[in-house]
Amino acid sequence: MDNLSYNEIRGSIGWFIILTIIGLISLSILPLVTYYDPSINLELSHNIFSIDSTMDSNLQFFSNSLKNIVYLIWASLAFILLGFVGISSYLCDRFQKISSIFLFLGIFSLISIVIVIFYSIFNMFNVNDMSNVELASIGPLPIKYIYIPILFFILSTIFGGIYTKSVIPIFKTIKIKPKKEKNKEEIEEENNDESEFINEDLKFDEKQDVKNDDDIVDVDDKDEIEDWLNKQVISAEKEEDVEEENDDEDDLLKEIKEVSDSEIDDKKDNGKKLSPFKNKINKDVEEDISIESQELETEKIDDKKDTEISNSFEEALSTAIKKRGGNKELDQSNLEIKKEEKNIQKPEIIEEKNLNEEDKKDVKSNGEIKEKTSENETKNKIIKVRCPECKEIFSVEKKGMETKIKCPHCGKEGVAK
Amino acid sequence: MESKLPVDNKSDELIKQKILEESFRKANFKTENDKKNKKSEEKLKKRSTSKIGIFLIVISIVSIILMYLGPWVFIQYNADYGSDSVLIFSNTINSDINSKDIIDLLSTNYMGVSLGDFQNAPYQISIGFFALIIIGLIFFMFQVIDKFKKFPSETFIIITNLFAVISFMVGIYIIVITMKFIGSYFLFLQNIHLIDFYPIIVYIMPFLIIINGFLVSKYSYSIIKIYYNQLKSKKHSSEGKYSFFKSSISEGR
Repeated sequence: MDNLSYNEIRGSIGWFIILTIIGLISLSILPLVTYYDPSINLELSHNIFSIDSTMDSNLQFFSNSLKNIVYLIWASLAFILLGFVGISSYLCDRFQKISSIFLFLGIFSLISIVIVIFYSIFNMFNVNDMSNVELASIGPLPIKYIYIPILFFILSTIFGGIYTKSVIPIFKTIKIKPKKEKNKEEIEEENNDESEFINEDLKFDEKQDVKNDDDIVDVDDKDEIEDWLNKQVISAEKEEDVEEENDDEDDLLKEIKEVSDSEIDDKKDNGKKLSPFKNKINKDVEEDISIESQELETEKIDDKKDTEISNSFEEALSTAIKKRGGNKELDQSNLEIKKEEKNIQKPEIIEEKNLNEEDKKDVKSNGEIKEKTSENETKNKIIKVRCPECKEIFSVEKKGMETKIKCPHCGKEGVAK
Repeated sequence: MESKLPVDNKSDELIKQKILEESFRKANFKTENDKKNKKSEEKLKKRSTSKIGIFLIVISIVSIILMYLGPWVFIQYNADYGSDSVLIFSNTINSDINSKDIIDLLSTNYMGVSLGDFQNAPYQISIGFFALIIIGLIFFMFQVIDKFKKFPSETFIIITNLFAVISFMVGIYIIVITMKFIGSYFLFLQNIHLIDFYPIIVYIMPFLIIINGFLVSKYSYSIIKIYYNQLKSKKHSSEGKYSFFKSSISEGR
């Protein structure tokens, strides 16, 4: 329903009431008939109240029909007022059944006022056929007093028609159903509306949302549980990988130790000339292994920290995205990216504070570019990158969210984010 | 901080931002709507406690008192000894009128008003006013019950509207009954060729009753109208915000 149609209904009701009341008042005020009394040889005008006092049978019939007309007018007034209550209750959205009844009763006002018009016209013709009775006219003019109320009733009929025309479409929109079903439907409608917003916004498939809306609670729970499980699995896999790496390292250490021990034993057997080199070899090997293990540990800690910080925030958002139904595409893209990440090692971003003097020089040389980039709202940032392969530091211009990097020294490829 | 976050891709980040914005807007929208709904409901109820019951009771009692104590007609006529005037009360109409001409005028059907009408009309009109008192009392009781039970605002509005419709009809009934006296002017002018003398007749009480009846019906109708407008604005404001919200989201604001 438009605002215009509401105003149209209200306006038509208002005009109908005003015109009908004016018609009713004019019917009761104005002299309607002139009766020629042959006994006193005089013409006497009568209004609706004074007709009762006359003894003429024709006038009695006319007065009775006038009373019926008045009752019909009252009925039409009552119906249209109930129609007004009906449109108010229709706006409430709660009393659809009552509103439909009241609005339907409102249509009876049109019917009753049409009957009033036809009845009064019928009476007019009846009076013309009566002897000694005439319709009272306004002075010498041929216009009769009774035309005035009829005119108002015709005008009110027009507004009654407008009301009926405006109200009929409402009946199509009203759906009367049991309360329980209605409540369920309301909830579903609300949920559908919400999902519609999101769909419009994110441009996701509507079909997916419809499927989700069927069992909202269950699907959401399942998704959350699945997400949580997936994450647990991923973290477990990561731990396993790390453990495997550690195991490999331990095996290597053992092997090295075994090799060194056997070499030492051999050399012991061959002669004790190689004894001064034994400690050096062992030390070198042990140092290398300890450095590598330390590096691995630090990398593990960094990874854990990053994941701990990001996971708490990311989990909430990612679950939200998954709830919205567009998770499938995102998941696929995420999986692809993860695979890529496994293949390509992450280049490390170094902050300017930790740069060496040589790096600072490079930064100074690129200072002009940096200033320009800062002026251009840092669209293209220059970052320092350390190659994980050759461990050389070099500067790279970062474009957008992801930039592919190729090490100028060893040719190792990677992605900076 | 941004560089540390493991952002998967650009679209993902955008989606996240949009979801956050959307949820924030929704939260705001809901809280604002709840507040406004509560306020509007309170306003509606305040307006409805708007003394319609008391108004109906007071105006009816005043009208009944005035009807039986106040003068109904002022008549000025030419007597043998000069011009004379008389105030006619409904209770003492027979003793008040001394002029034979006026008694003859009111006894005939020339004016459409008889002496008996001055006695019967107050009775008929008082029935209407008593009906208004009863409606007012019922409505007042309903308001008192509502204070303890606290009906939903929509139920309250519909019941109030129904009371208002009844009181409107009663008001119109009172006006139409009293119109008998106003109609007598027109009938007097129509039958003037039959009347020998020309008295000046002023109906005092019928005019007051018509004004009262008009006030009752106007007030009742305005209550229906106010509730209608309130409900319409409430509905359209919610729909409007809804649509604005929808459009803003679709635009990705």
